[in-house]
Amino acid sequence: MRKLTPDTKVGVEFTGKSKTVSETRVFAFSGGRFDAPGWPVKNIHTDLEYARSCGLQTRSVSATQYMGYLVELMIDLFGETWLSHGKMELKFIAIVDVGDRLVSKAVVTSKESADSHTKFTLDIWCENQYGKKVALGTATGLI
Amino acid sequence: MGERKEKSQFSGEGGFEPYTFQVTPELNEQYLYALQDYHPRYLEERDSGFPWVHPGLLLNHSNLTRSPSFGLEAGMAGVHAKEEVEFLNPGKVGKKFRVTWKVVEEYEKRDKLYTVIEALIVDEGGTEIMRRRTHGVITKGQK
Repeated sequence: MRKLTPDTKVGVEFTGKSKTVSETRVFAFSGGRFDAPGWPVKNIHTDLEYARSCGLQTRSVSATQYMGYLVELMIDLFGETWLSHGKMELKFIAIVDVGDRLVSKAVVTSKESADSHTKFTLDIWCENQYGKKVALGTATGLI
Repeated sequence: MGERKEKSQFSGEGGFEPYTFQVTPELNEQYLYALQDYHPRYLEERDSGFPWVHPGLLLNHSNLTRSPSFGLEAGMAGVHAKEEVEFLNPGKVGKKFRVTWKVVEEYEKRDKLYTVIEALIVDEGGTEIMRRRTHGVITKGQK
């Protein structure tokens, strides 16, 4: 993984790890604690019938799950200090189904000097196995 | 525990009851599995003496649905449309966290009512960990 440095130029793109959102991982994320009675909890993320009863066509993976993927990429790019100053804005534009394979991506859109740091703004997104964006937005951080 | 809100929208009079939870190493590892991210920062002691909580866990545990007083009628579910997150400090495994929410805005778009909720996560020492603004909409099934 290539990390951002003050020399990184606008337009440089980064790709995170590809992750399959398997059923067991969705249960682990959205099904409650492993040791809870009745695990996994039924909700729109874990149960097809429940999701359909709420007007959805399929189970919908929690957006916070793939926000977690994007956070991983941001920490890879900015370093751990990003968790003490980083910002992220996202729109969720398509359903992520259980079994989809997602990859997080980022491209540098601007950089500016700020005190002793360089402030980067990135366009960020998650796309599925068909290349369709499911979440997109921006992130900022300091190097 | 406060009165459970059976409303067709996220907003409600009197706000939402805060949610307190403790992140044990087991719970953190459950989320590392879910997110396929076993970075040592989440497993080994840091300078602070604690591994860090995966931010994905904190995102998931600060969804409004975690409030003990949040509830929707059968056949309804909240869907995440948009998000702004500010990362303020890493959370530490073993600590307790408290999440508070407030409704800051409601707006209509394409005949749907969106509610903007601000969430703040603070640890047991009073350190602010994460601030979120979540735009949510209700999805309903056929009755």
